[in-house]
Amino acid sequence: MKAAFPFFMVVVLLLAVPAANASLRDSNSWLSSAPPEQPAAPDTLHNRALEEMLTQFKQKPDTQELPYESWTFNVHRYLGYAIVAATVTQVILGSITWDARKAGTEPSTKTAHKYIGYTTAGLSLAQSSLGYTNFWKLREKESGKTKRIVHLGLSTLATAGFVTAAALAYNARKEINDGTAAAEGKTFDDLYSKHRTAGIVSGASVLLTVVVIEW
Amino acid sequence: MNRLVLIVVLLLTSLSLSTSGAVTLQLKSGQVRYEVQLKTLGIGGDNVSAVNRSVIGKVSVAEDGRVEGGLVVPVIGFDSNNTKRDKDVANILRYKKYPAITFEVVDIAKGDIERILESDSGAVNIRAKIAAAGGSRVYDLVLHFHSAGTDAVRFTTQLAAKFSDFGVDPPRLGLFLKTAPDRIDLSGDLVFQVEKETQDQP
Repeated sequence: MKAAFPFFMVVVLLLAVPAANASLRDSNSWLSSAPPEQPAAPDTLHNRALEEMLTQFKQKPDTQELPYESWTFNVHRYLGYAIVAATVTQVILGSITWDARKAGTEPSTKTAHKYIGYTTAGLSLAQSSLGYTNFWKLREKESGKTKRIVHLGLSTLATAGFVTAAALAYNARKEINDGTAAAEGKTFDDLYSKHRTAGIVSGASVLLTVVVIEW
Repeated sequence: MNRLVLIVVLLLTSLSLSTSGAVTLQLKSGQVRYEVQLKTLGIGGDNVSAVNRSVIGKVSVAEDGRVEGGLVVPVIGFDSNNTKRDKDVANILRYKKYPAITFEVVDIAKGDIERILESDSGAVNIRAKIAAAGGSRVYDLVLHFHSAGTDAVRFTTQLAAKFSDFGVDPPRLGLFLKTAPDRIDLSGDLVFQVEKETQDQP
C-alpha cells in the first residue's frame, strides 16, 4: 500500500494539472471583455489605400462637422429670431408712425423706426449670406430639400423687401428735405406707400420663412 | 543581322505579352443604410432607417489577389428624414472623434475575385472588417454581385450587427421610454467601376 501511494500521487498530478490549466484558460476567456465568438481582427495596417482615403476624408472640414452644429447654423438661427423680433417691432412702430403722419402729427416713433429699420436691413443681408452658406452645406441632403428651397426663396424676398423699404424711406426723406416732394406736390401717401408695401411684404415673408423652416 | 533583329523583335513581343493586370474598383454610386427597431416601453416596434449616399470607396485588387482599400462612410452623412435623430445618431457614434465608419475586405478567395470580374451575377463569401466609433469587428458576409453595364459591378449585402460590436450602447430616447435592442441592420447597395490596370513586368 505504501509503495502504491507515490504512484497514486503521480497519477493524480498528471490528471489535475491539465484540468487546472483548462479551467484557468476558460476563466481568462470569460474575464476577457471581448465576446467569445469575436473573430480575431486581422492586422490591417497594411491597408495603405484605406488609410489614404481616410486621410483625404479627414482633410475635408465639411465631413467632420454636423452642419447643424456649425457656427454658421447657430448664428443663422439666433439671428433669425432677432430679425423676427425686429420685424414685429418695426410693424408696430411703422403702423404708429403711419397713423401719426396721416393724422398730421409728428410721430415720436420716427427715429426708432428709422434706425431699427436700417439695422433690420443690414442684419437681413448678413442673415442671407449665412443662409446661402448653410444651403450649400446641405446641398446633398435630400430630406427637407423642398422646405429649404422655400425657406431660401421667402428669406431672399424678405431681405430684398427690407433693403427696398430702407432705400424707399431714405429716398422719400431726401425728397422731403431737398424740397423736391413739395415742388412736385407729392403727398405722404405718394412718398411712403411703396415703403409701406415693401415693409409689409418683407415682414410677412420673415414670419412665413421661420414657420416653414421650424415646422 | 537578320537573326539579331528577329531576336530583338521576339524579345520585345514577349515583354509586351507578359503584362499583368491589377484591378481597381472605383465607387460610382450607391448607398449604405441602417435600420433600427425602437420599442416604446419595451413593446411594439417602430422601424427607423437612414440612408447614407456620401460613401467614398475604392478597392484595389493586386495580381496575387491581395485586396486593399475599402469604403469610408461619413457618420454625419446618414439621413433619416429627422434632423434631430441624425444628430443623435452621429453623437452616439462619437463622430467628432471618429468621423468615419470604415469597411474593408480582409478575406476573399482569389477565385471569387475572378468570378466577380468575369460573371454576370452571383454571390461570394467574404470576411470584412467594419470599424465605427473606435470599435471594430470582422463579419462573415455574403456579397451579391450583378453586372451593371460596361465594366461596372453592383454589389449588395446585408448583415445584422450589434451596437455592442463597436463598444456603443443601444440608443435610449425620451427618458428611456424608447429603447432599441442591441441590434442594427446594415445593408449596402453600391456600384463600382472596374478599371483594369496593366503593368509592364521587367
